[in-house]
Amino acid sequence: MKPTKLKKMLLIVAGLFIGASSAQAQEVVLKAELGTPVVAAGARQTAFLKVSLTGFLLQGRGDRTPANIAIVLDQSGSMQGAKLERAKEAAIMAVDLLNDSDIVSIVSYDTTVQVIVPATPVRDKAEIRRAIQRMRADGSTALFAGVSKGAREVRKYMDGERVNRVILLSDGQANVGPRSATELGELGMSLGKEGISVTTIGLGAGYNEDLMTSLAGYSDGNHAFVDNADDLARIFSYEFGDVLSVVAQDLVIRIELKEGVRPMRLLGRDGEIFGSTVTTRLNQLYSDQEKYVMLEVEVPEGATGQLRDLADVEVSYQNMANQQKERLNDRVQVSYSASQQAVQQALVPSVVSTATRQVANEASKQALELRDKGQTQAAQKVLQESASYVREQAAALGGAEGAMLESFSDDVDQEAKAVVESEDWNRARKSIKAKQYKLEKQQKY
Amino acid sequence: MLIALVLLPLGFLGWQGVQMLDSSDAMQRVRSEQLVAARLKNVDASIQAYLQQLALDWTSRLPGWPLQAEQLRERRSQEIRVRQLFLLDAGGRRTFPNGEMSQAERRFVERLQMVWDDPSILYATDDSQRLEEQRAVSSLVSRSKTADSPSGRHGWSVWHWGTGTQLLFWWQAPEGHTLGLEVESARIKSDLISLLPDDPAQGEGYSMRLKDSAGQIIYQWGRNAIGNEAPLSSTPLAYPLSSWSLEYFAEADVGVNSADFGLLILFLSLTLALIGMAIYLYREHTREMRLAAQRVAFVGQVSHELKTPLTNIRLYAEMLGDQLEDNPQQQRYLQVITNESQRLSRLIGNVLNFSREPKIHISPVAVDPLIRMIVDNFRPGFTAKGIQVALDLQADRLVETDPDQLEQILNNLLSNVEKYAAEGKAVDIASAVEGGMLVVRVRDHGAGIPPSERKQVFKPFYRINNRLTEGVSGTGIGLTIARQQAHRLGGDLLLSDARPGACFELRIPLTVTP
Repeated sequence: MKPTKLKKMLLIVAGLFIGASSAQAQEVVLKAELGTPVVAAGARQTAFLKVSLTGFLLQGRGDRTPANIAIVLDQSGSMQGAKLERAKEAAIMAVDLLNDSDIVSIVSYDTTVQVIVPATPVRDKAEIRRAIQRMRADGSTALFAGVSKGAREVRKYMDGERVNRVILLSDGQANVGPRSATELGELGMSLGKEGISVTTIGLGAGYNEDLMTSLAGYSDGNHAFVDNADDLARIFSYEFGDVLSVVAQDLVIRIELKEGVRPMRLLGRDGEIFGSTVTTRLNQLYSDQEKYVMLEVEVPEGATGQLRDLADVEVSYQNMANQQKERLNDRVQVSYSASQQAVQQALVPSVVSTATRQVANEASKQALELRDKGQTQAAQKVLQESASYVREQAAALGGAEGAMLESFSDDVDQEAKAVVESEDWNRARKSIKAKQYKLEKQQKY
Repeated sequence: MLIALVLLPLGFLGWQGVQMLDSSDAMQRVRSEQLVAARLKNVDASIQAYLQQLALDWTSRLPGWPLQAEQLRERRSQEIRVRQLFLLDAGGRRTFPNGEMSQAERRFVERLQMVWDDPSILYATDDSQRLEEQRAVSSLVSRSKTADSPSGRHGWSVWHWGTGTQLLFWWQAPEGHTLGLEVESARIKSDLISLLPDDPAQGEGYSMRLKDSAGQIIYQWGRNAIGNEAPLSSTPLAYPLSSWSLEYFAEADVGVNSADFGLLILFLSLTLALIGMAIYLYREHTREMRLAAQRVAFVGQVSHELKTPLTNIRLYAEMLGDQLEDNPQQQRYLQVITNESQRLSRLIGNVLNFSREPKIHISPVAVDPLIRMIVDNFRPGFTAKGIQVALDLQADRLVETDPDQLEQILNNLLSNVEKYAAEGKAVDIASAVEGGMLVVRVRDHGAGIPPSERKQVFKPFYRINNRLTEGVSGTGIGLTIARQQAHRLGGDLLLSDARPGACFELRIPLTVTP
């Protein structure tokens, strides 16, 4: 009886897999480490503290967090033609990835806002498809109102056990309703507090990238620059891949620095610093993905051989696997050594490398600001210095991480070139902005 | 005539319609103004309800809040509509944020400096605040409205900075400390947008727009296209968002449309009916005219064909008269033949005259002899019917005119007398020169022509329909031709009153300029 035998074998194999994955804890992994766990004795110095969170692997396909998504689509006049058709296809494809435990709503906006599919469990996909197909492009861009209505639809099924998200597509400047990056940022902040992330997808060269990254950034959503409408479907599938793999939500990271240790700055992710307490939040963590906070601290001087408590780290989050509020703790220590070699040997390459990238990212932001003010040469100088800094770090680090940093320095060089020579600065800026965002938020795509 | 027939009733109807529309317009305007006001008020009320709900929510929760910095920060990070918050102790001193502050907190402390300087600015009543507002030169203006309740006082305070109107909500505990919440204004806008209607697939014929203090659109809904037109109506929102406004857009005469439309349809169908009728009448008329013209053409053709044989008859009758012996019997027969063929040629002349425009040949004419000759021609007929002829000829001079035409006119008149007025037994024929005109009057003593028919007798093919014409044959074009000929000679043929009988008066100028 061959078939039964085969079945048996399959069962055993499947059992092995399940056994293996259930052996793996269904919880977030917290890791707090210094780039330089051993520092030179006898001097005050700075060090990078990386607090990273890694999402666990989801067990099976059917076993995922249900989603509650509002797709907010631009149907202003500029979307006419291929753009709108590709957007429709992307949205339809995205809806196909959902099932009846998910909620979806479709909102389109031009001068006004139409809720073309009010929030509903994804049962009748054909009806949703038809509604999307009916969209016609015309009018201005009431982006703020579109997001607001999308958020309202999400709110109808708002639930801590779901991934709540607004996915916004726009190809143009918001020209009806609030339109400043500040106001959209404020809206993003408020929605983020509520547990709704806004992912912003900018299409073509006409949108305002500052506004779009601000909205996504403050609500901890994703941001992407899609130059060619043909890539929309791909970006939508990445985005939905992210959304459907959320394993933890509402994460709060609290770093309590010990006496004598001073916080200098947060790199990348935003947070609040009060005295010796640093707090930052993440709306969600995706499966098998690392997100981190990089804090630069000042370490007081110490004697050789001294071991000093540097910080306590506490993380609280909503575990989507068991829907429990969970807590994680870690502590960081630093030791002092007179030996330069000991310091060098103790380096944690992954932390040094990410810290270097984040420092370079800060430089990139600064360069962009300079470029915006018209100080092209100054911007280029900042980036060139940044590139050589990255190369220095790469050389110091060596090994695989060093090689990767080396190639990253080439990217920085490219950027330094672009700020001066780019023929299409508008596009280049969008691309740089999206890259910065990706690094800052450790976005997967 | 036909055009007037169509235009007059249409004009009247149109005027009536406009009158009606005007009055219904006025009524509609009042009604739609009320509707607009109600709609605006409705929206304002729902915005008010939202703010009240917000205040109610906070006043119920704020008393339970812990007052330590750390917990306040924790609350702030959870309050979705709060950007920053502060705590004042009973003495009005700021206890949070204080000491170690984040960057955002430091900025917050800076922008609310006025409050730390004088916390009473928050609780100030309306009146004193209004004064404050008038005095304020800077863009930093605040105004408050206070509500007391057993669980403490609370109110809104309005500030203007940055991206426009900013709201502060404050609550003073019975113990004296005050919590102030700086509201995330973008979130308020977003909430209001969520609250306000979506755009329906089918517009309801009106649109509304919510504008902030800078006049920027926050949200608009309704009919998709609002151009640059001015709003039909606009109203400021109630406190605390009184610097925001609502605008209402619609076509001014929405609602009147249906009535308008009905009237228009009625008007159009009436127009069509009238035009249809006019066309029918016109076609009937032209058909008759065409038929008559055909008849005339036919008769003309036939008459022309008759002319040659008739001329031969007359010629040979005259030749026969010359050769005939003095046999009175034969002479009489020949006379009859001659008379009748003369009558026939007059008739033919008439018909030809009517059917084609004759040429006029002007020559000096001795009128009185001409009249005598014509009368002589008729004498046998008159004698046979017992008609006495009285001549009174005073036009003893030459007249420049066409003798053939003149003769034909008189022939027609006399022939009418012979046919229709024989019972009068007399005819008076007079000629004279009066005021540069030759006047010839032919007056019979017959039955006469009733006044109502007088105008018609000159029309072609018109024959007075009474016993007068019964049993008498006629073409019905005699008088028409006579008058036409009089016109051609530069004169006129008139029918004047005479009792009994009728009197035709021919007036032609002494010289004709063709």
